[in-house]
Amino acid sequence: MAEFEPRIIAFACNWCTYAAADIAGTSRIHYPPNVRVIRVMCSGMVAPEHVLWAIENGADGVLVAGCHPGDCHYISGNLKAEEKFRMLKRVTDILGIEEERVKLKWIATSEGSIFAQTIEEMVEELKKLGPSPFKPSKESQEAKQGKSALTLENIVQETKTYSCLDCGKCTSLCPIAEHDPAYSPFRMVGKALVGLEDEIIHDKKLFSCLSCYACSLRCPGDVDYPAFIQKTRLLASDAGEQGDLAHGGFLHSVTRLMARSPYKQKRLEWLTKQYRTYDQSDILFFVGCSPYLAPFFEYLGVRTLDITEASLKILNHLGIEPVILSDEKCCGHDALWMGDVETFKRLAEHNTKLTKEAGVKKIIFSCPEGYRTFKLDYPNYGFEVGCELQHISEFLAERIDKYGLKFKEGEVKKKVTYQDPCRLGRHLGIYDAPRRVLEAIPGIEFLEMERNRDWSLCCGTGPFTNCDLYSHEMRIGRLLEAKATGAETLITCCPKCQIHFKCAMVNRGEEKGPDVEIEVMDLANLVAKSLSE
Amino acid sequence: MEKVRIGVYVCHCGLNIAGTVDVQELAKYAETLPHVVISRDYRYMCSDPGQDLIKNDIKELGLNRVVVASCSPRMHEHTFRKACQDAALNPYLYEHANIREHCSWVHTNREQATEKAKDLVHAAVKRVYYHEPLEIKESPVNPNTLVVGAGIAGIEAALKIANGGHKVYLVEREPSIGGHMIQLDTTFPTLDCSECILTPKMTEVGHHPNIELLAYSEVEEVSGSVGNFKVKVREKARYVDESKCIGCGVCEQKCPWKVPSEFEVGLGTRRAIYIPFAQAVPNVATIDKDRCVYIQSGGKKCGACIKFCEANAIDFNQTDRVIELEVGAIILATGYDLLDSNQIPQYGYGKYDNVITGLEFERMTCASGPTQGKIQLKDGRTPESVAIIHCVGSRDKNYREYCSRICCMYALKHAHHLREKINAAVYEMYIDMRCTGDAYEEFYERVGEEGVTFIRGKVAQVKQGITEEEKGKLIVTAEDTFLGSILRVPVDMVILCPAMVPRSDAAEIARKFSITQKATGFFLERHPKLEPQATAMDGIFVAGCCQFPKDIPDSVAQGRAAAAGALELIDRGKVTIEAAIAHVDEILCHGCGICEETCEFNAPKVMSKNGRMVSAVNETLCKGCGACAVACPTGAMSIKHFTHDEIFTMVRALAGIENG
Repeated sequence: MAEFEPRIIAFACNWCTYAAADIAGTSRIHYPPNVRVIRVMCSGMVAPEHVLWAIENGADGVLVAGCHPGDCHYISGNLKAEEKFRMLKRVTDILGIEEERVKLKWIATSEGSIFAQTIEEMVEELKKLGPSPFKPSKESQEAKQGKSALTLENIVQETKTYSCLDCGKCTSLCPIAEHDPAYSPFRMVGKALVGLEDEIIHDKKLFSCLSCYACSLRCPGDVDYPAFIQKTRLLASDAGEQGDLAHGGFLHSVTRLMARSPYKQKRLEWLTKQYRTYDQSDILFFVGCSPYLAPFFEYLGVRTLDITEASLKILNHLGIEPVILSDEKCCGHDALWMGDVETFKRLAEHNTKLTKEAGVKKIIFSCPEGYRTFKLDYPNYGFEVGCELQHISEFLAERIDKYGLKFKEGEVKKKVTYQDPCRLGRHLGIYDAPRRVLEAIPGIEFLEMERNRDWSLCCGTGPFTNCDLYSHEMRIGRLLEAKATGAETLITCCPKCQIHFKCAMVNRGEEKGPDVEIEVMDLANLVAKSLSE
Repeated sequence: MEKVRIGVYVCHCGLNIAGTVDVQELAKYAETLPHVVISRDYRYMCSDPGQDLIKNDIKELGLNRVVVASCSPRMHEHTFRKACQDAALNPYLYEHANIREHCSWVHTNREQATEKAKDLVHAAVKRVYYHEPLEIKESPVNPNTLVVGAGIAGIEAALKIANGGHKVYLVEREPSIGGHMIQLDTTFPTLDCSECILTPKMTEVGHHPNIELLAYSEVEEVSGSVGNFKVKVREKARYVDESKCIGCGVCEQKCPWKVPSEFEVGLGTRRAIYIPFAQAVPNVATIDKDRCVYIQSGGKKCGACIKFCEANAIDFNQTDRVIELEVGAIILATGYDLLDSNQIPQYGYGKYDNVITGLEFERMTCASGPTQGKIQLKDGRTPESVAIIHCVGSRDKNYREYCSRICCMYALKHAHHLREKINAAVYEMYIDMRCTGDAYEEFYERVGEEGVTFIRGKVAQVKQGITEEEKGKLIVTAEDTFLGSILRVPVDMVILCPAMVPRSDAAEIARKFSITQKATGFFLERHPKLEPQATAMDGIFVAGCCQFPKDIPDSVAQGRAAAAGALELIDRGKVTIEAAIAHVDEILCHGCGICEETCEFNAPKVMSKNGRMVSAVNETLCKGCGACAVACPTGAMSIKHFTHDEIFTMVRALAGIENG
């Protein structure tokens, strides 16, 4: 068998490292031929997703190299690269990817020999580690070539799209259509009914739907539009369409890598001794993608693990020491809604297996997306976890009603309003439970937004794609609505809602947009504050 | 999109590439790649016949993309881009694969090197598919120049440009030009009288038809980019009509209000209405509004100057005036400050009489200074012994790590004057003697021959003498490192050589002009060796001590070098705008401002447009570094020629997935 030859992708900045590699050439310094250099203008031009693409596409190791701090041709591009790289490393560490596979190094123009040495060392290290487990095998590549058996006709049948009455009500209810003149659920359905498959699949707007269910809930026919979208995106994804990926597709890469990864994740760093878990418990708390989103969205001031920790604190306080799995993965929600069914199935299979092995009677979620995915999508694809599923707000409401759970007086005093998350609300019909909890906390004055419960407005972003000005305008409108209630705090009980609202508030130009600043807080964090000793 | 037709050219580079890489196999491989219409190999692609191959194929085969696999793009990318341009193909529809510096010159195994070369060509062919024609834009250069700071560096810069026939706006913050050099007595090593060599230049500046002198003025705001800057300058009110004032000085004599003189570094006084020194340019009076009793009392008290001014030049109704200038280039020559020696209390500055700085000593020895050139102690006596302490705050991790370059030389100069004028015993307390210029070492030797005592040891402290014998003396303590013993040297006067530091408002100046400071606080040049006058901002130059401590010859040279930089721009008349720059997809943009916050060059700006916030990129400011595109959360920002698709397709081709 031929010896394993690692493949290294090196992103080299034009002014320093690329020139250093040139100098290695002019000086005839020999090094192994395993590296392929991509020239960028600045190490600051290298985005974290570029590194993940390299890994997904077969690289055994990735090197990002630029000028030494202080020498950057663009003043601070290299420092920006370093900051992004630090975040990237936190994520790859959680994934369990060996640290030798992803490197950042400063190599100046004059350091041709150091470039050569760096490559040599990396090749040696990678030879010892072995090939990257993410190298696509011939079989998986062939499987990708084959189209799925699904056709548009099947989809129309399964989702009852044929029952469309041509009334256009869906479009008038659609929050995206309200802002984007080019988006119309009605027209999309119309095209499907006359079989314009190619046109639909290659229409970027296919990825604008938020699957918020505002349309189908009131469709006088029986059209399940979000399900239609979900399945049609499978066809689009097979054809290589993804819409306009937000964050460069970094999060999608992470999910795909997680799904294929044989590595054991390092996802419990946040689980310190103050939290109590018990691996024989009847109850499992599902953490999901929270540890990955935390470092990524730090720049927005959102730490998704705060919600996880608060939820665990609440459960512990109520005498529950749940199972926390050490290797659960993302529920697959975004992958499914991107049409990447292959990734979704891998994740579903993995999570179903693990939760079944844990032998629990109930799984509690702090994220409505995870909840909906386990409850509705897993069974649709044949994955049965076989136990009760609950959102933490439901769990708390139960405790309040059945067991007289009380909260401490005087811990919080706030005027709050509440965002019904689509996945909890219209998808699963849960509107009362979170309100029950809010009512029960003394010091909370609850003010409803104008559009609430099944009329609630989605927080505005689908599976991190097509995050455009229309989605932004939606959110601005929603935040203004929240502020108009007079509330000082907007309570959400979905980490995505919190992320998307905080993102909408980013206003860092000198000329400012509308003031939509309002405190955004998860229900779990609010409850954790109010627990009696 | 029109059908893409790619031509691939593999260079042998004699045996440089062909000796290791199988170039024929490589060219054959390239033929199999998508959209490749022709694939050739040739001995020297950069030669005229080599380039002709490309040009002919473009014309005859209707190529609309070209890939050359040869040396580093840093060598010949521009050559082949030009060849494309000559054949009427947009130069940005060209891609370069480096199979020499990155392949044939660093690998020895022929098979492996050829495989790698194939990957590199594969990536280039995949990428060139996504290239789009980019417009090469030019913008005209405004032939006026702004020089900020009228010390010796600024004066030299202004004169060179003005003598070349172009207009200069020379802005100076103080009431008169001259900077620190006009405060000096003599200059080392020639001992030229500073005023004598500088004042003719100052006069020339004052009268030059091409120089508009804006003294007692400050830059408020700068916008625009190279070739087209807009600068707001505040002309501060002197309360004296410059056109009427004849500089007779009667107002100064009659003004009753005395104030420590900034020019005399506190050793002398001026009045509330004053001409800073006799040879001031412009030679007009200025009223210090904070000290003028007439102004402070709202016009009720004093007014002596009005009474006595025969030219009727006093005008208390004057207000600051803000004007806007349009210039093509800017030269910053804002000079330096000295470290406040109060920060080093062990030397007794500010505590004991007769501890003074080198600059104060300059004013003392200067014949036109506050003591008419008499070197004297605070009580009027002539000092019999003087210690000169080097490196006060320089070469010191506690204050400034760097060497301030000029102090050893002026310390020698002061020693010389002390010996010559008053025959005082002089002790030079030094660590090293840095005499690196032309005739500097010889000057050091001369001063040594004049009987100056050199003690190698950094002074620990200066104390007051307490014994009867030493009363009134300053005791300087240092280890003589050569003798290995601690010395106590009682002297009458101590002269400190404080570190040269950036101006106290250097950070604000840097921010105004969008340039950066080094860790030391001095302005950052584009390259310390090869571009000491340019900054990261095209069209903005630095000269003199604001860039780093230096002596007068170097300041002059830098002022003139900066002028050459400005003249280059003016002469060329236009600037080429970088084409591979940032671009905003307005549908995806939220107007969040992260791009604006990230950019070092002020290129993207969020603004209100059609009722929404959206980012717009100033094409002349953008350098195409990519930082904003990486920071943009929605993918709205991309860099032309380095788009998401382009990078992705290269990664895919090189990471191995497409090679099975």
